[in-house]
Amino acid sequence: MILDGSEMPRLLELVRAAAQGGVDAVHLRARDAPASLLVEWATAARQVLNQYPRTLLLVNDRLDVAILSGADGVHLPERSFPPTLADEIRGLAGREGFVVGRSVHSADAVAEPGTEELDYIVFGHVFATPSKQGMAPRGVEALARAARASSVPMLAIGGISPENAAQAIRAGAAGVVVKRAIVEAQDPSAAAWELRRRVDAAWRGASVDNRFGNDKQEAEAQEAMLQVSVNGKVISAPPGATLRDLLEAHGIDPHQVAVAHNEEIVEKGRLGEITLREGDAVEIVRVMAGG
Amino acid sequence: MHPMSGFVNGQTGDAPAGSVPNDVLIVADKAFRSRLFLGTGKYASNRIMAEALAASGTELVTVSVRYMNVEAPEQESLLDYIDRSRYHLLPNTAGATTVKQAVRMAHLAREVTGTHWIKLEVVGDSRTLWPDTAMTVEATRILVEDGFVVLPYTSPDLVAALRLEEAGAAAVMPLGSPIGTGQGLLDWVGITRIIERVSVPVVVDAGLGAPSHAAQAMELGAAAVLINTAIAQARDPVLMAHAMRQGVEAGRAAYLAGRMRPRQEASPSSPTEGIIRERAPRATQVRENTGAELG
Repeated sequence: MILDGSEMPRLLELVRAAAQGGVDAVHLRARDAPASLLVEWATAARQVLNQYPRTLLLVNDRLDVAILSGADGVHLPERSFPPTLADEIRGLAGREGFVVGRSVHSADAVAEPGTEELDYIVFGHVFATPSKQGMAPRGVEALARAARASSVPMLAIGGISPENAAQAIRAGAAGVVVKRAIVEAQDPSAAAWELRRRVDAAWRGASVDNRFGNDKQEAEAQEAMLQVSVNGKVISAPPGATLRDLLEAHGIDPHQVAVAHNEEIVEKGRLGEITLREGDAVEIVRVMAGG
Repeated sequence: MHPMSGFVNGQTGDAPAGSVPNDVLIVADKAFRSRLFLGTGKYASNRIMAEALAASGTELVTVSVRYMNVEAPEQESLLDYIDRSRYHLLPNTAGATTVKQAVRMAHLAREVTGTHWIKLEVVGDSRTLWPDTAMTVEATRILVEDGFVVLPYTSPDLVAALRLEEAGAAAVMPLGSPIGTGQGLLDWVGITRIIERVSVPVVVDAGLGAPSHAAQAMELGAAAVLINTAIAQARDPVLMAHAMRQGVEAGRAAYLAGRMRPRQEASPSSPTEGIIRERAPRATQVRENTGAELG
């Protein structure tokens, strides 16, 4: 997830929401901000992410800010340091596993010397996006060609949404980079989670169906969907769904599990009687091997 | 009939579990012919686990309860591999580090398995997985109140065992050595003390690495042993399950037979009379066979 200067008033809220929603890396961009503010923002983001060790903090272009703030890596725009310097950059950072990634905008740039030294590259913009108005998107085919030419994991950027994320993954992207899809969502954490779910499902090669309805109704249904926490993850359910519906929608046999609803254990016979409400905490437990 | 006749007739084979006739273990409301309880963790596959259960002759198997991954529910359930007509389930509270967590796990376990038996584990130290006996006593009291049959995992500490018995535990299960280490009975004196003092069955749980360890625990008078890693991680788990069964049976039979008291001085096993000498012994009254007589 990318954050620009305009998001800084909500910086901490967005960073936390992204981490909770399963975002792998927060990319602090804010191109024109002075170093004093950048280092302050990056340090604040770092502190939040210390609680979420699975989410990396990357700083755009400013290696100095990345180092001073304790970020996990630096993201190089195409006209920043050349990829041949990746190892020197890691040396300067002096930290094990310091991530160095780069943006590219053409298949040629994918093949530039030194690219194999990078941890990842970002290719785009793949789909039409308001941030690149008047520029034709490069499209999924160019993405697929670039992915084939790339020796390192390649992420897709530009107009990525829950609807087209799987398309990018199937074309060969290792992941997706977004800004609007999360920061403009009413519930950024849920939006991040939904993207994560689609990307993971596409990785597994499974198509993500809308388990609660058919495709036509999806758009409207999504509006009205309520969000519940199931075993600590955000899951959408249609209004009026019961616990039994929730199990059925995920193909879970009620006889193989125990269910707790807001910490109360629900007997199997009563699963159909309890209607889900926004923010409910559901626990679904099953038997596993153990000593 | 002599209690050993089962052995004499060579009937230590597959069925029924337990080789000494009429030697039945009672825990709470259940009777067991087998004194070997098995864990189901760490097997290479569910199929191998099922074969090991069968080879061990066990009648009680432990399982854990965990949150499921709702996004990708497993296609096959462990329960598909455990024949509930042959094996009773003993769900555990492994992973619990507080009383509240253990009690919640127990209630969810009862809901998902349908049994009110629980192997109570409240761990106080993550490196040794040593039980927190104070919390375990507290959780035992609560769960007994809630109608559970509680089998608590505990340390080989007499006072903890006495408190667990007072709290209503249906058995006490002191560890032989830390879970998964296979070091055997590091404190057999402590275990013996517990066996001598509590009236509920004592089950040695955790750390038994070889059939000799299982036999030793049974010889000391343990009511049963609970084994997981030593079987699951053996090169041939099914063969090891069979060996553990024999170790348990040998140890149990030895305990019932009443072992001899150890002593310092050697005591010959063969008659001390009539030992053959280097040269033929001669009676002193027989005259010497001299050369003069021959001449």
